[in-house]
Amino acid sequence: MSRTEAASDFETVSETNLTRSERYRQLVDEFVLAPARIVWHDWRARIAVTIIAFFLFLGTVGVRLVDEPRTNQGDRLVGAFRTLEHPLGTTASGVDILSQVVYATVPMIQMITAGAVFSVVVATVVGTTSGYKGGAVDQGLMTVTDVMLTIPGLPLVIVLAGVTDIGGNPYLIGVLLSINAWAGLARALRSQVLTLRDAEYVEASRIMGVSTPKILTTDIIPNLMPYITMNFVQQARAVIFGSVGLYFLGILPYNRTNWGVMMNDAVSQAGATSSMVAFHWLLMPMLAVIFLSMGLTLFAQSADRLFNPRVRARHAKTVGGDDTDDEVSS
Amino acid sequence: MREKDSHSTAVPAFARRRFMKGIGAAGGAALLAGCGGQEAGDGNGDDDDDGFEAGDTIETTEAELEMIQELAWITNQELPVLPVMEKLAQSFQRTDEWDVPEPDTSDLMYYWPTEWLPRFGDWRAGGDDDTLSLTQWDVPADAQYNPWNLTQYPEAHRGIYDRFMSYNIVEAEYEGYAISDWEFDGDSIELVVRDGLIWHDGDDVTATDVANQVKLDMYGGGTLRSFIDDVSDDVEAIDDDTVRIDFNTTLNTQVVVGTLQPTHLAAKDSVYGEYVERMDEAEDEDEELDAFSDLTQLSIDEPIGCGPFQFEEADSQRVLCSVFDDHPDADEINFDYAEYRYMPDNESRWNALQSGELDGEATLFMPQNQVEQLSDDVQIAEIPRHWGMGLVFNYDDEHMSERAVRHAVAHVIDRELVADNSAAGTGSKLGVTIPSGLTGDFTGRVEDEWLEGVADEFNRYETDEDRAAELLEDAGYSQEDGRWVDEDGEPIEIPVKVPEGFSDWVSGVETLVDQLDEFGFDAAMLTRGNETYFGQDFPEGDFVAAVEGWASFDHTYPYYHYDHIYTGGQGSLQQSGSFPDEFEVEPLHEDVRESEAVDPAEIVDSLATMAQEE
Repeated sequence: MSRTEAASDFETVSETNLTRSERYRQLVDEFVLAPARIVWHDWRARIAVTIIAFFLFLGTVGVRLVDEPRTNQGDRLVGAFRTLEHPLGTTASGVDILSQVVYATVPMIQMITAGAVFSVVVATVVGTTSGYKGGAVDQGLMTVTDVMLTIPGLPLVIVLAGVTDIGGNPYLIGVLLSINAWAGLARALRSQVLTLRDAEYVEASRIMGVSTPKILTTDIIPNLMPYITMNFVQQARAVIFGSVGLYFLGILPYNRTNWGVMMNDAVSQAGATSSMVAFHWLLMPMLAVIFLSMGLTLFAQSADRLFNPRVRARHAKTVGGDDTDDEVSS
Repeated sequence: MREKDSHSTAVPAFARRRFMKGIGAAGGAALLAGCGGQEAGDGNGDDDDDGFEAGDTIETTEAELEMIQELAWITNQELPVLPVMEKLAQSFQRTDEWDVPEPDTSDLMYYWPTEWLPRFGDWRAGGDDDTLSLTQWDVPADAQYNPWNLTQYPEAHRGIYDRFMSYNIVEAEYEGYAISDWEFDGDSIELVVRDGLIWHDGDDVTATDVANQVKLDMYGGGTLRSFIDDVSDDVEAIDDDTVRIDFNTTLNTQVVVGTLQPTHLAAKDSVYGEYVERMDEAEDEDEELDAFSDLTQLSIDEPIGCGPFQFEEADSQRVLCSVFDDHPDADEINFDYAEYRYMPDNESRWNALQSGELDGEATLFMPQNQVEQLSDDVQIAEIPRHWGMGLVFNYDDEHMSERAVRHAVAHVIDRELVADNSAAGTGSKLGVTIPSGLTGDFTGRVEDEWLEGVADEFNRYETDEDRAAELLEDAGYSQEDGRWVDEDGEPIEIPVKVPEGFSDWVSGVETLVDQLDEFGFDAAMLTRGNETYFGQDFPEGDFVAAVEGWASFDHTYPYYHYDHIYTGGQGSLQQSGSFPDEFEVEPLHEDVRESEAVDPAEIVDSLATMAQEE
């Protein structure tokens, strides 16, 4: 920080002035390091991040380390932990289960990202606009929202999966699975916005003539972030369960490896629920689903702390505060 | 998850084809829900050659054989469908409380053994059990018993109605049953109703009932209709127990008898007579179709049958039938009831067989790891099906319509490996040796009998990637970064559609797609719900490559297979795959045809009208 002398009172701009690098450092501190420290102080978040990072690793680096799943890579129905070549065993067609689990991670990540982003973005846009604008816009948007809320989600997804030609595209499947999941969040966000829109600082922005989109993005949405993040993670989890469930039931068309498909194959091709010889084929994708969704759930629980400004301020070294780090770990 | 054939022989194949589109997804589902999911064989891996000489007794004339070889040759050279594998059906019988024939005897070799064996006295209770427990796919309480309705026609109909004739698939011999005797003179056939056969309400089974049955099957688009001038006149009850069918040309015995044999007699005059009358008296085709579509709407919950088992009741879990004491064969049956339990997936059947809940299963695919969990008193018979999965190419696709590409695909796919994976260790499937549309590979019949003398000229499409590459290069394709592209640099995309319920087909397609992909095609497996697949995708030709049975199952005589491939009309391979009417294939036998251009349907028709030596 450097201090500048003001020539006259009117030329005073600020008591302090930041150089570009300082500004970056502060941004990094506030948005990267502080969350990281918060995470490090919360055991749930620590586990969650480890799990999510592990799956991201599988989806990015893992697919380069493991051979692509192919039929007849090994003997048929090799059990788990029997051989080094196929640590998780093989399927009835001799496909390595480890490589199937790893390669299924990629479309799964694409799917949950697409689904969660879609539902959160739509919900945020609809909910905040509706709550902030009020009047006819509010009525119109909320009518659509209510319609989406009342349509039963699962049958809708099943019907749409049948009539549309999504051909196994993971992004489209993610969106499809979240097709009406945004409605609940949109309604909740609208209520929040209704209380925020009359806050003094929002009113001040309005009087200063700041445009509506800018008010929404700078004044309102940041206040909703914890809630939105929580829902992002929840929706991600819902997409995992939805996709695995629908693949397992054979409703979604697939052309790539998927954990639900693996489970379906294990049951339909080998009766894995009643056959010890084939049980590993069912178990491994199940464990993958359980771990990833557990990671996301723990992350959602700890997300609240990440976005709590007070907690964050305590962890950001560049922002003045009088609390010490130790108190946060409680 | 299920087996297609469990439904389809009940409904004449032709009716199925013609109406498949009309009945839409739901109907298609009920009808076809489940081929493939369950078929396969015995315990010990590789006993492929211990089978029977299926069809030994079929006598063929030289001219007839040449036609069959010509059709096989055209199929082999043009390859509109690649026959991938042929299979044996696993049929299960419990032996601790039941007396049944040994699994390797020809007594068991009837299509649908649970239907025939009790009638012959070959499946008798040996203990205290008074109920034969079997299974069905459809919800018992929702099922209906009008065979022309095409929806929810449950397994129980096999005991409730009698078939026209019996057919031992190993002996290839027809024997009288509901039609006790018949006389065929080439141009007409007389069918004699079995003496003493009565309906469950006490009425005698008459020639009128049989004529009704034959007529309705013909109005439904049956094969024989093409050889009849006027159904209402040419199918006629000439006295109380004789029906006469006059053909407008001389026909092949195998075709006539083979088409009539599997028919279940259901058309009791008091129930179906009015529909027959309306169709007989229809002034034009629309009126006839109207009447027929009304018939397809008729739903019968409590059937009046003529078989040895009489419908008692149906709830959400089972159909119960009791032995009908006035049936001529009732004395052969020493138990009181037959029940058909609702088991809509393979796994529940595997478990039920393992736990002793079921007494038998006519045909069901059980992978080896599940077979090993069966108790010792369950025996498995392997019945040749003359059927298997084929890869159907769509000629509307620019690459699939190239013969070189189809040939290359055939050279890339390792049919033996596909069959092994699909059989899941049971050894009940065999990679087709000479892809030609002929069945009987399990017994070497294809090479030794049907193709005797010409087998060496046929292309065996041995797995050979170099040959495949050579074919593609000659056709103007090239390889870029390991992927095959056409002259515009576009990759050869081969998405293969497969009905997801047929788990053994799914593993087969998984395997062949991997092989194609590794070779450098952009191949992918697309699974579709059974309903969508058989209701829309396949009949409407909405695919690049798809899988379907390449043969007409349970027929040993090749006519049926080529009829299925080339002339079936709607829903046939020809129609689904948009095969052209004419192929350019050099003749094999110049006696059969001279020019290169050939419409195989014409040869199929001439085979049907080929008089045989008596």
